[in-house]
Amino acid sequence: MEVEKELVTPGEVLGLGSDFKAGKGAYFSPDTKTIYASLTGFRSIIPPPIDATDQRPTVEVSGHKAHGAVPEPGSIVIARVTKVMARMASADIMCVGSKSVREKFTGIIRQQDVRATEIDKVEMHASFRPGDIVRALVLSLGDARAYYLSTAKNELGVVSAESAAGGEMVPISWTEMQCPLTGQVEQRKVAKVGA
Amino acid sequence: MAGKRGATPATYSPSLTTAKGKKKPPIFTDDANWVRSDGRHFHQCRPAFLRIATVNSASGSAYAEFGNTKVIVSVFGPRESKKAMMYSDVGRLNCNVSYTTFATPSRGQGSDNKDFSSMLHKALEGAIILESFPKTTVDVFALVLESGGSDLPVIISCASLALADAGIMLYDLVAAVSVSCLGKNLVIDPISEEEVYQEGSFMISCMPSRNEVTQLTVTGEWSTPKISEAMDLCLDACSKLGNIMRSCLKEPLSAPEE
Amino acid sequence: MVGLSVGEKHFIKGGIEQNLRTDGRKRYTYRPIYVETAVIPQANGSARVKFGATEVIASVKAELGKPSPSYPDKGKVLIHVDCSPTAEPAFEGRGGEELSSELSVALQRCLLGGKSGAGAGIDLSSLSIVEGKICWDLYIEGLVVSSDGNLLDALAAAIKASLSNTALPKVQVSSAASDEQPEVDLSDEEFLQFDTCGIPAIVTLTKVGKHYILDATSEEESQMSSAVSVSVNRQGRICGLTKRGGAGLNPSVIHDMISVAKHLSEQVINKLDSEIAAAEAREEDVP
Repeated sequence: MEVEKELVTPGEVLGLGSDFKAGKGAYFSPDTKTIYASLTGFRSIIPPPIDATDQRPTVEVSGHKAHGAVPEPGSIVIARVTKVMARMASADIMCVGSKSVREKFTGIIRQQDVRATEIDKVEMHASFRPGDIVRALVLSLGDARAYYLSTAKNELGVVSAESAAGGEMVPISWTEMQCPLTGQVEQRKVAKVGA
Repeated sequence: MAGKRGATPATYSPSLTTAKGKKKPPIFTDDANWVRSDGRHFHQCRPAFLRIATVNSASGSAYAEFGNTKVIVSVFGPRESKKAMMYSDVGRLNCNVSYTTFATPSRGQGSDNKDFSSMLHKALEGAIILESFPKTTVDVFALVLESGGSDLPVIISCASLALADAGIMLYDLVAAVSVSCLGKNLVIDPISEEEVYQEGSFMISCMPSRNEVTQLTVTGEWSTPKISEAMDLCLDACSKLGNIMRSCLKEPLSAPEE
Repeated sequence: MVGLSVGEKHFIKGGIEQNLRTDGRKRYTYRPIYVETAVIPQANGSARVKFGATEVIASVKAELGKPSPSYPDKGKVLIHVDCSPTAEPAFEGRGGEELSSELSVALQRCLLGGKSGAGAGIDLSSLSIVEGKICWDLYIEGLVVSSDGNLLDALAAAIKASLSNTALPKVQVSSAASDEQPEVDLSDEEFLQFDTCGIPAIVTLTKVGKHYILDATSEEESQMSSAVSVSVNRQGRICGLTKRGGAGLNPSVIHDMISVAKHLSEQVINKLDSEIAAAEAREEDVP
């Protein structure tokens, strides 16, 4: 099934719904029972996994220029903390997965989403400071203003922070970071990086 | 105007003033012999020039030139919706059409262009898979550099190219074409001059591959057979325009291969 | 916004499928139409129109003005619609503005024809008094008092009723000097009745599922995929067409909708005319 390098644009017919499943960059129209392209790119066909019950191959559009990254529930984001309040911290999302966003999206980390344990004893000011770079998980689309983020996992939390003296701080435990210039210890919800 | 007045001395019009109301330049007579000022046939569109990715800072952009009508459209986003907006499960489309001050012979914008933004929105929203970018907004900014007639259809077609260039998921491209009714004749893709004298206008925007009409506006008085004729004419032109738009989108991708 | 449960939505859609709508109407039946004329004493003409729970008021004010240089032999007509937040909380602020301008544009398109004034339901040259100098400016204002769907049809009906109620004072032009602004004298006794036979009716067909319905309530409108408003005059000619709703329509469906609208328009125009006549008769009975 090597039908490669066929260029398609949005609206072009990729195949019949009875023969294929719609993959990325494609959609199925129930009215006409046809699969159309929704992006510009190359039509490619992916054979179904051997053990799948549905033996139709998937047709998708690849090699296209995708639109800018948009946070979705479940995606891992890199965000910069902008404001820390008693019950939540707000942060600007800068990267979604490995892609940087063109324009920032606002997210908030609520008190109950900072860590997995003793969530009622979380002290927001002892977890984040404005300017910290955090890795977080998008919990939900949130409300009209912001996405809800969570750092309640070992690998999530502050990945980079600057001390009051201006040094790049070094993590010393999952709750503390130390300034290499002054030796001062500051409290953070530290992410476990590289493990 | 003077010629017309002399030619019809005995009309049933109650006064001279109403007779003069039908002033037309000599070329726009009811017979089928007049030639369009740019030498086209009645059912012939202007040559179209289309280009995508013309604005670097935008997520997607397109430039369209249909005769003297020149339009540039930039698409930004999907980006964060304005704070004042309500939460929405699906994406939002925000359209804005503006004219340069030098777009028309008389400086300043005509008031008839005010509703173009909402017309553009209505023509495009049915073609965008809004579910693919929840909560965020896609902004479409259209700027008419030169207004040479059939502005709105050119804006719509150009905007759909810009959306495709931005990688926004679309059900189909949107191609739009208008016809003017001048006397007995239907004139496709009218220029400004023809639009001034038109008795009726008909604009359709459709998704050529799905054969669905996203927006349709009619002004003036039309009989049903004439509407059908105009619709067939436009749909045929839309599907041809759609093909031109597709080849424009494919151009940058297919070039490095050879 | 109309908040409906899944069951209610299903009920509405199912009813339309079976040609029996929630209020007992068939697909192509109007709600009871009520017309009252001369409701605003300050205006030259006014009318109140009710389509079931939808209630709109239209008023016509006439002022003497100067014709625009490009059309010296024509009067001017301005149509504006106001959606008051008293009708629905959603009309407050931007939501109302958007709807207002959408309705205004649609009415302008349907009643005033193209840019050159061709195909207009209102004969603009009849508003001219002295060519290039004086003409009547008609300010038509629509107000949505209570909103329960099908606003456009109701507004068009109200405008027609208010225009037929409009009386323009007879104008005496005294000075005839060609380059001066002529002096005019408005008569208090003699009035000219406005001719409304050319004014089209707007028939909106709302598509819900596979079928289309006439005179949709707001609950039914919330379930629509798209709506086509066709304005048809007495001669059965189409004077304007607008489409609402984002979903695409097959061209054959549009053809069908136009012919259905045209077919229905005749009965709508007749019904409306008799209601207007009845309202005017009632008005005359009141001493």
